[in-house]
Amino acid sequence: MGTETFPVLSLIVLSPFVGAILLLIEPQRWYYAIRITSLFFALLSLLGSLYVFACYDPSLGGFQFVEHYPLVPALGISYHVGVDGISLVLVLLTAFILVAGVFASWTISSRSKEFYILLLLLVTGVFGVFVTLDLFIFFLFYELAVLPMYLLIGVWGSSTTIPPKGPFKTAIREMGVGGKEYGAMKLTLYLLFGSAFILVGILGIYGLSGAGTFDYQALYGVEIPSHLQNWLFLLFYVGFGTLAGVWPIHTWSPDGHAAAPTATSMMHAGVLMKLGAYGVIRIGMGLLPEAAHVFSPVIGTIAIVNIVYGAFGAMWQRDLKYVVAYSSVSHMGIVMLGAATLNEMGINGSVFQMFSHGIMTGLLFALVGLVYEKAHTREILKMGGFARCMPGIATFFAIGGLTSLGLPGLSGFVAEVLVFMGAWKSKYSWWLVPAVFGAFITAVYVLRVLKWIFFGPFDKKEHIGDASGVEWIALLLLSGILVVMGLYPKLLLDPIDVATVEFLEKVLR
Amino acid sequence: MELFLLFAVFIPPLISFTVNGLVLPVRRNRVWSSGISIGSVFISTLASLLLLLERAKLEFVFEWIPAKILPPVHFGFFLDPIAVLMLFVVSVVALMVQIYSLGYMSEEEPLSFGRYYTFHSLFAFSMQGFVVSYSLLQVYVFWELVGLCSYLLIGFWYQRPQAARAAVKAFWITRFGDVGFAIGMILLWGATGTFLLPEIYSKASEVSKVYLLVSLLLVFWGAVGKSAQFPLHVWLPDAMEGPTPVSALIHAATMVVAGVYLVIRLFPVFELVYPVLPVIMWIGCVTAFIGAAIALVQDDIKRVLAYSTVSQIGYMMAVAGAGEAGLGFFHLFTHAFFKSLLFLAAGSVIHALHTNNIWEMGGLSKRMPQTFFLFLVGALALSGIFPFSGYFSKDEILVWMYHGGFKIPFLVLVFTAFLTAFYMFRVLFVAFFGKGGVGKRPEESPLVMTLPMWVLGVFAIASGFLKVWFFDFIGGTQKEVHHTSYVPYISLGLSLFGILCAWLVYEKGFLKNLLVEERALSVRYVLERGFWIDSLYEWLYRRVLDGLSFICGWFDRYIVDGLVNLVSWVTLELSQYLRGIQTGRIQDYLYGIVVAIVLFIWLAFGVL
Repeated sequence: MGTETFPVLSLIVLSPFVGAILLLIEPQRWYYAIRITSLFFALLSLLGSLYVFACYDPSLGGFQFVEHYPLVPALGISYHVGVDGISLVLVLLTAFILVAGVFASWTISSRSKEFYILLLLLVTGVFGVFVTLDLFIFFLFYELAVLPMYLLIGVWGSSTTIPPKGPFKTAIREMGVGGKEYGAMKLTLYLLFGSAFILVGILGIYGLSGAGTFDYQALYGVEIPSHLQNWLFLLFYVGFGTLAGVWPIHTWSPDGHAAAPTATSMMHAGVLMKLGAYGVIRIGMGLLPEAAHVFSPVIGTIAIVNIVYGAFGAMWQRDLKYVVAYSSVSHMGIVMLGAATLNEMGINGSVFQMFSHGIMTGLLFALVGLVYEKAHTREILKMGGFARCMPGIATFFAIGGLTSLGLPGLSGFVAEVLVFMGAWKSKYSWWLVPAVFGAFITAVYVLRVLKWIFFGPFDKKEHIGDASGVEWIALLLLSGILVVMGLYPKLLLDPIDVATVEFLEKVLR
Repeated sequence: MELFLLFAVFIPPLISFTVNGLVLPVRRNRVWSSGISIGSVFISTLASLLLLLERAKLEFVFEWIPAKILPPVHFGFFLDPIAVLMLFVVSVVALMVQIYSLGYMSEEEPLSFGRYYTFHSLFAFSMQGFVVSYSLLQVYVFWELVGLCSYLLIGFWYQRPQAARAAVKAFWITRFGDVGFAIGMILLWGATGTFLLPEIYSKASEVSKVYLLVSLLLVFWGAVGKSAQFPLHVWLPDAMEGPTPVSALIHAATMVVAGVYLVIRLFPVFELVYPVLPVIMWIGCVTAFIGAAIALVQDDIKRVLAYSTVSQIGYMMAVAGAGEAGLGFFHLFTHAFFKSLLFLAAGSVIHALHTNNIWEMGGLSKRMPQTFFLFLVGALALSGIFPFSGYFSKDEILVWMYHGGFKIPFLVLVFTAFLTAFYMFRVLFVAFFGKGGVGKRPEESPLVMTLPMWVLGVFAIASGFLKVWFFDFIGGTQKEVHHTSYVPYISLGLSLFGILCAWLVYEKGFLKNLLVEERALSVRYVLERGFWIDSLYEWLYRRVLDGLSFICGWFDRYIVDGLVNLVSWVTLELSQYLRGIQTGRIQDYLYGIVVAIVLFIWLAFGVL
């Protein structure tokens, strides 16, 4: 499709931004107006994404819905957007999480206006990253997606206490580990640390290619000497890997996610971490194919560490939010492992896992928020028998948890099995074994947590209720997607596969 | 037509699950929730009966995961005689159990009653889907789904900590088996490029022997977990925490034999590499013996039956491993009826007395005559007494083992047959004739519970006589029938002797002190501890898994993240010192400038 068609991608990107502007002029006391405005613009993005998803033609492949306007021709910067099968799926994921996040923060009590403004700004950045085909604009959107997080966590977050222990206990005590300000600061600094690498990488490609353009498609396939490719790739891997929660630069993620308010955790674990993986695949591997081959064993092996270590880490946690946060570290390992296989099944699985994990972790964080709101605790061992008083939450929690452990019929299984198949077909087939074992550990801790929270006798005196009102919408929406994609993965895999095949043709040439 | 009937088998339970699951008013209503569920299984039963009568054959394949470079993944349904028979068994037992549950679960609150039938519908769908799966990946999908139903139904009374624990344990252990299944399955796919069963059959012979051996043993490891074979049998006895009808359906007749069904399905591949079948046979033999041995000392009527199930599945595995999968399937067929009958009869007793302990029962033969009679039928069938169905299926197994040249397995299994009769009649004599139930006045169960038991009782008697028809139906895979063999007399004699022993010990009190009261008797101690296999898993879980999680979690929190914090702390601390330089006094800055200039000159020109 050419530029003459309706600019639906711009609509998707700008709709939250316009919403944020509109919210600025609404007074704080307009309780419903603020929510309806946010919801409206979120739904607009979702509709746009669904339209793009429905109208994307897998038989043509490539980037579609392209819009191209030169901004700074002298430097080769342009507003160039378009989606292929991979970004398409991630745009859809973002839109779903956004809508669910708006519903999940419906009952937020303090400064809801500012909260929604920041949330919408953040999403603008995320959408922008996924659709843009210009590296310079990409970086702008990327920063836009990272920065509002600081305020969202610092203002609306929640704190916990972590006892300082170990050889570095002075440092841990002095830094105030567990506080929301700590989480916010750590997350922001970490991600800025990452984006510094990315900026250098982007400028490096710009300079070394000699093409004088930031345009992704123009840079696709330019020759860069292999030793320089390796260095550039390493920059991107560290930069994006920080955001993707790659071991051992993942420790911002548990603290950040645990401190963040519900919708922010959903957005962050659900979408922003995917942004890192997307960056590694699209920019790192896509523009530096030779280096992708060189580094794939490293990426895959670290991904294995992520999977197993993250799962064991989650098993040790007794704070519900930390459990979900560590499970994200483990599941992002599956994404990275899929990418490292550099074959069709693996990359399909990797992208599918991005979508599936995004929805699933969004659901889980929404539920954790609800449980916290009702029970006023995140300590798993202080809960018990909650299935009695919150059967609905228990059911959805079970759906989320079962997706997480890869139960067939839910989308996590499709993703995991694809990555496993890809791992076996890759050059390093041994990856398969620890990866499957990691899924087993996931089953161990997920079922144990479900048992601790929801099973057993219910002995609390005070009344604890189930979810209510609009909260159900978020839960139903997200778990519905998990089921549909688990039963009929072709829906997503058809476009993903087209993009993967094109991607592999470039990388494996 | 076949396709329509096939859908008529497994779509109604799916609809029932969806409606029950999503529409709260339906689930809240006892009549609606159970009515829809039972109605759907009734349709399944009719449809599967039609398929059986038609001897339906069918293949239906569609693409599930698209791919262009690598081969895409296909799913599909197929029907052959074995699948049709299995569908029939699943539908009939599910129908009977669901009807029986109307009475057994009548004391539940409406919502939890509805939840029960919701899970049952999901189970019926998943089990039937499992049976007709054409693709190994699809087998795995439904395999896990029935495992989920098992988890949900074991933990049905989730407020009881033991039930919650047992549910999680069952999921963990079977999942541990599934680690093997998943890896093995992907290995098979890696070599053959397909998950479709017939293509695997044809392409497997080209795969290198060692590779095939490893992948098949891994797949079999999944079957070991699912079918509660040694050493992964420990979840099944604990699974008895679920409602008794669930135990009858899932943990006796259908889901738990899924592993045997898988072995039967993959038999053409298992045959290809040498040590696979012997491994299966030996695991079956060991399990048969261990299950029966532990059953001897259990006091919980359901745990006796659970260990008995473990043991009987061992028989099925053993004969499949000895090269005659059809006989294993025949035993699966008869066992499904008589074991679910036994469970339902036990459930009838439990429902009346509210206890599982056989020593708190007694004298039930007079108060619950129907239940007693049906339990007796089941016990005779399980013990392999002519003319009950177990006689036909079990003796065929023993005959095959003996004449097939598997002498030691034969001895193990024939001794197990003796133990089987002994433990079964131990329960029967203690629970139905003993003195433990003094002061209790149990009532016979209502018709809604006894009727399904009678139906299963008829099957438990009649299914044995179907032997010739059965083997004709599944295509005469039975290789050679030794009509003249003397083995049936030996096993029949041993079984009768087992009953006699049980009668002498538990009815007449012979050696009772030694066998019942003498707790310190070492054999008894070993058996009560279940050969410490449970303790081994407990240790693995508490020490190894929890230990590793502690190491990873602690390391991550205090070392990896500690280093991160150290970096930022050091930065902050250093900045405290550096800040001291900014004194604000002009003399200090001038001093600094002079020092810098001197240093610069020295470095630049090397003079001074």
